[in-house]
Amino acid sequence: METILAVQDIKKSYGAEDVLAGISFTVHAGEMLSIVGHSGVGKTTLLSIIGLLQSPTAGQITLQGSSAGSLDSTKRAVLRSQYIGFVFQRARLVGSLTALENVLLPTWLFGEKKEVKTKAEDLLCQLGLKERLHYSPAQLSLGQMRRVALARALLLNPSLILADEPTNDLDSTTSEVVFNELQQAKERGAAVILVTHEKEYAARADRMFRLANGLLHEESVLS
Amino acid sequence: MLQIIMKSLQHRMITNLALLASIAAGVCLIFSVTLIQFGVSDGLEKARQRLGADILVVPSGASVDPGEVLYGGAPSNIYMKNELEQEVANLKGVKRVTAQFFTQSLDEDCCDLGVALRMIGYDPKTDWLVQPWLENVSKRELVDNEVIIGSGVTAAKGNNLTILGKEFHVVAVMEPSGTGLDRSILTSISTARKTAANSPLLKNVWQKNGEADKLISAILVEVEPGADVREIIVRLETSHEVRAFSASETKRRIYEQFLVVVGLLAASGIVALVASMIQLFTRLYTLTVERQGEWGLYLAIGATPRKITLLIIVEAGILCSLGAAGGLILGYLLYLWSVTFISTHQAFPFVYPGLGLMGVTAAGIYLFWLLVTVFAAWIPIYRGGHIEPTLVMTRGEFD
Repeated sequence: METILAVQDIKKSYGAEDVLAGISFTVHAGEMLSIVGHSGVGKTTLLSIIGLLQSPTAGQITLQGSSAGSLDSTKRAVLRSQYIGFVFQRARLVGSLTALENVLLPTWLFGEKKEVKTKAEDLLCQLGLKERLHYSPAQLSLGQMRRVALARALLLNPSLILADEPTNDLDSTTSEVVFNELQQAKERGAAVILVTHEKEYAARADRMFRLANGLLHEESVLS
Repeated sequence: MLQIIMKSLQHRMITNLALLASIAAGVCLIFSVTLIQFGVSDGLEKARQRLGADILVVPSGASVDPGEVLYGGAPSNIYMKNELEQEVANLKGVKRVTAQFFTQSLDEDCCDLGVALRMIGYDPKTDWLVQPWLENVSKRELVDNEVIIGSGVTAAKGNNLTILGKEFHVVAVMEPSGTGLDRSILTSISTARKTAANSPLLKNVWQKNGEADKLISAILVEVEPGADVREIIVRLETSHEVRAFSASETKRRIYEQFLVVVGLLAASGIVALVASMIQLFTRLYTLTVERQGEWGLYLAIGATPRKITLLIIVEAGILCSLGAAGGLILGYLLYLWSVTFISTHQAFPFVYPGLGLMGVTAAGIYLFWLLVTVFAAWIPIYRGGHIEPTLVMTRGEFD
């Protein structure tokens, strides 16, 4: 199975505080990996490092065969645009764009392809937003905004999807829709890393890790 | 990328419209004032060169404004005895003089030309003003049926014109001067006198002053180098029944009057310009605060810092270009209206700036604004290029 991401002995310190104390794991194509842990333990920091949004204090990150940890900001941006789809804790929709335009945002930044618009519409329809394509974020509920953000992350078929508490604050039905969409992406061959507080969803991943004291501990998904 | 910019501009419609209006107002005033200034400066200079005299002498009873006579071009039916010409020539400090004879205003009631025109008869024996035009067309002097016309007369070189029932041949067309000469017909003094004398409609104007061939309308005086023009004018006015005007003083006085108008407009333009610059700086600075989260998102999903810079500068550039373009169009309209408005209240020579000069002026103003915009956009560009993409994971929702 193709390795999408390999993380080796990642450390991150803020001053004297060691948030991550040496984390290693790999994630393969078509695999979903979940990370749980208490608030403030460093889950979002870990996600931002493996998502190439910030550099680790030490350690190696290999994304799709490219060593990414030591690259400059421009090269890391290019890798992000090519391989990574983000679902942030908050929806992060642009207020000046409609739901559909927010989904199309990556193609507007990197060059639009006509067929992508149809795909964006299909994605929003699958997520139950057929009637909301041209609504502005201000007209959408929290759950609807999350689904738009998920559609944006999935649009360009990224090989690595990083989802930071994607079901947080959502009702059970909407949470299920969101999780199912991530699972479908995994089944299409994407590697998914899911950071969540909700054990129910964490346990449905292929592998589950607990982040504590700056280290990752693998837990049984059956426990 | 352009879609993101256009959506952002639409989303902040009211703020952007206010900014556009502000930029347009500044550009409009500066552009129109600059064009008016060019037109007047050029007009006064061309008029001075064309006049070619230091002093203009007219009959003392003539209720004419010197600016009107020199630059306004209003046909002036003023007459005095022709012996005055020699008396003026004998004054100390006078280098040479030449007399001119003006006819009655011509209009549709009395001639075959559709507009009111002034016919100026010059004296070929003493003239030094019309002669250069004759040399241009390889002639020594105009014969009885020949005329030189101003650029505002609707005829071309080689055409025939019928004036007061008599046919004239156009031998030359003068360059535009922005003065009454543009709407004048130059001919020899004898032809002008004969034309006036033979017209029953004009008789009542000149007949009370005597026979047409013994009358003149104005004397143009050139003084010796170093001579005191002011002193000669005083001597002329005290020893003869005439009024005399200094051409350069008249020019200066008109220019000074005009400067008041231009100065007021320019001051308004500068205030509007500074206000719009402050607004532009404020608007672009607020971008750095209100849109950091948005730019962080772009960076997080893969935009490079260079792309963020481009987004900011293109958005600012579009605002600047739209505002400046609107301002230039409005400025052109304001310039046309101002010239018409001012010319109805004040006689002044005006040469409409050519398309090239207008284009260069417009491009200069636009480039100036573009530079101001780039300067104003510097802070957001710097901040945008230094945003940490992790911001998107820590900040709240953004507009």
